[in-house]
Amino acid sequence: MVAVRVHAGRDCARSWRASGSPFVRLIKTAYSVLLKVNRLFALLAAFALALAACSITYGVLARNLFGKSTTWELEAGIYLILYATFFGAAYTHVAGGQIGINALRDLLSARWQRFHKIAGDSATLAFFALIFHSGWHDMWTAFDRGWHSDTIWGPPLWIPFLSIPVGAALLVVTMALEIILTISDHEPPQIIKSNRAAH
Amino acid sequence: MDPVTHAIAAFALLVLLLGLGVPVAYALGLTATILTLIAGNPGEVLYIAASLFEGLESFELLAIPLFVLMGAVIAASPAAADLYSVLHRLLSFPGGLGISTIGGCALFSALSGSSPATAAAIGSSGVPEMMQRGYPPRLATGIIVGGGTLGILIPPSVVLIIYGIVTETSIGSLFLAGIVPALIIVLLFAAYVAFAVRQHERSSGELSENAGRANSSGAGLRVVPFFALIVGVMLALYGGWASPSEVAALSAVGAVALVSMVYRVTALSIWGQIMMKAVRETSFIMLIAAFSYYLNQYLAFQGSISEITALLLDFSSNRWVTLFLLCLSMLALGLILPPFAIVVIVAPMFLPFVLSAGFDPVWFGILVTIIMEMGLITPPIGVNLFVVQAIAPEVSLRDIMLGSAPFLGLLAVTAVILCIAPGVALWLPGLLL
Repeated sequence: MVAVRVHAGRDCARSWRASGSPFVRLIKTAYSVLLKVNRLFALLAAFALALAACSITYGVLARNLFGKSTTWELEAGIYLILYATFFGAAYTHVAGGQIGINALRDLLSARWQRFHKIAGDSATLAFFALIFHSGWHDMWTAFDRGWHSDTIWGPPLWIPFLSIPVGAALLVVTMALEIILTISDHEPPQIIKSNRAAH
Repeated sequence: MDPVTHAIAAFALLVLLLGLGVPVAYALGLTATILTLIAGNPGEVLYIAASLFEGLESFELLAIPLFVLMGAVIAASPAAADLYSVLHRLLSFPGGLGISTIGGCALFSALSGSSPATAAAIGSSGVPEMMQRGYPPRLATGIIVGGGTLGILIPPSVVLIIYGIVTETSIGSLFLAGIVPALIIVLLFAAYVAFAVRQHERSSGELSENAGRANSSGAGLRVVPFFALIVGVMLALYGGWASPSEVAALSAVGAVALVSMVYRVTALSIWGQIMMKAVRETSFIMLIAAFSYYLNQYLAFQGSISEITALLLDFSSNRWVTLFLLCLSMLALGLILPPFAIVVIVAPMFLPFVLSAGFDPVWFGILVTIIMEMGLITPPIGVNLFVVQAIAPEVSLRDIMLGSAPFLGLLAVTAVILCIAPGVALWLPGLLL
């Protein structure tokens, strides 16, 4: 069943990518590549999540079974979860994992639905552009001034800070391409997004 | 703008952004950003990344994605179907199928810690089974929508963890305090299901309640290790060997090990899908937590939270009137926001009133969670409604909502019982801690 859905998604993706003007086809190709990039970062997010669980479990076992006190595992866990959250953000968005209220959109005509989507996506794009700017500034400042966490472990702070601008950048580019495709009336079908998101 | 106008403007802007279709997490952050640009100090928006980092840099918050990981792993396994078939075999009497579904939801909540995951896992077996055996579609879907809400009350609960963090209340006490109210809800739901089945049998003839025994051999043995894991990690929590976050990590690693061994899930592609699901849920919940914290910081900085707290303290000489209005406002927020966002935003606002009125913060946490459970059944955000509609697309959303209405009423009855007898929540933590 899943295989059938994947094949249907691939066929649909091929015919969707082939239609439209050269500019639109270029944007569609860029969007398809971006979905793969988003998936790669989501895989890294999954790895970070698994690593967080393992490092904290190691800390508990080391403390209770071997009497060793560890100083790094909870802090590392926090930073890994930051990476899981922001690296997985664009993938989650494309996969429809961010809940919104679409009751109003469903009441509108097709033309107004497009306008409605562009308005909502533009707001999101502007917001994440701001987060990217702010996150990049923080990361660069921490790197430039050699800031470290004020714990015994004390890792460089630019490392956890980096997760925010990277995650925000992926979302900004994703939203920008989706807006262009919506304006040009070539919105990607949901099956492409879900198939790319799920596999 | 005065502090209360700030809060009203924030609410209006949030509703507008949600109406525009902006996802809930982003709408929370955008609200604070736009208001800072318009009515605050525009330069402060440049500190948003630092605020997000501060909001997520919490040892306690670690428990949430790790319990989410545990839930994703167990929900992807056939544990829910096994649990369901064991209960169904034990309860082969009129209404037994529906009651075993409620019981399955309650027990699976302890394994997943999530309402939508519980509704999806039990519902995918339960809804087709009940409808095949003649249960009316409204009742069959209502049972899952209602039973699924138990996911945020029975420990480990994401909502209780977030409430514990923002109000600095013991998460261990909150977990224990949720158990007896959850049992009351299970009993009320089960009584209603027995009554509804009897009514249906009187009007439309008998239902086929016999369990399919062929599919359930060994199911009991397969689910026992999962409950042993939960009991084990809870003992580690209450025995002082591990914090809630560490317990969550142990649960996640233990769930991976058990699903690999008990159900022989070893294919990397399946684990890839499970981990991607966990990433989606983690990113969704943690971004909501981060942006709710950002909005909360903005409102606190503008003095809105302290002003609203002062208004609440002076509102009425009768503390129950104020409490009732608080519950109504949380229920109204539940129409547009998911539970954890509401808890992050309103719990710090309401807690000073709760403490000065002589209410117990642990008890209030359980009351808030029951109100949030009601929000899970109420459209348009009522997540469980949509989860069940995805399982049973042939049943209209209207029928699912009508089928869920009695369960909504029973949750309200539980909230009243909790107000009349606070000991229902406080007895167990008082006894064990």
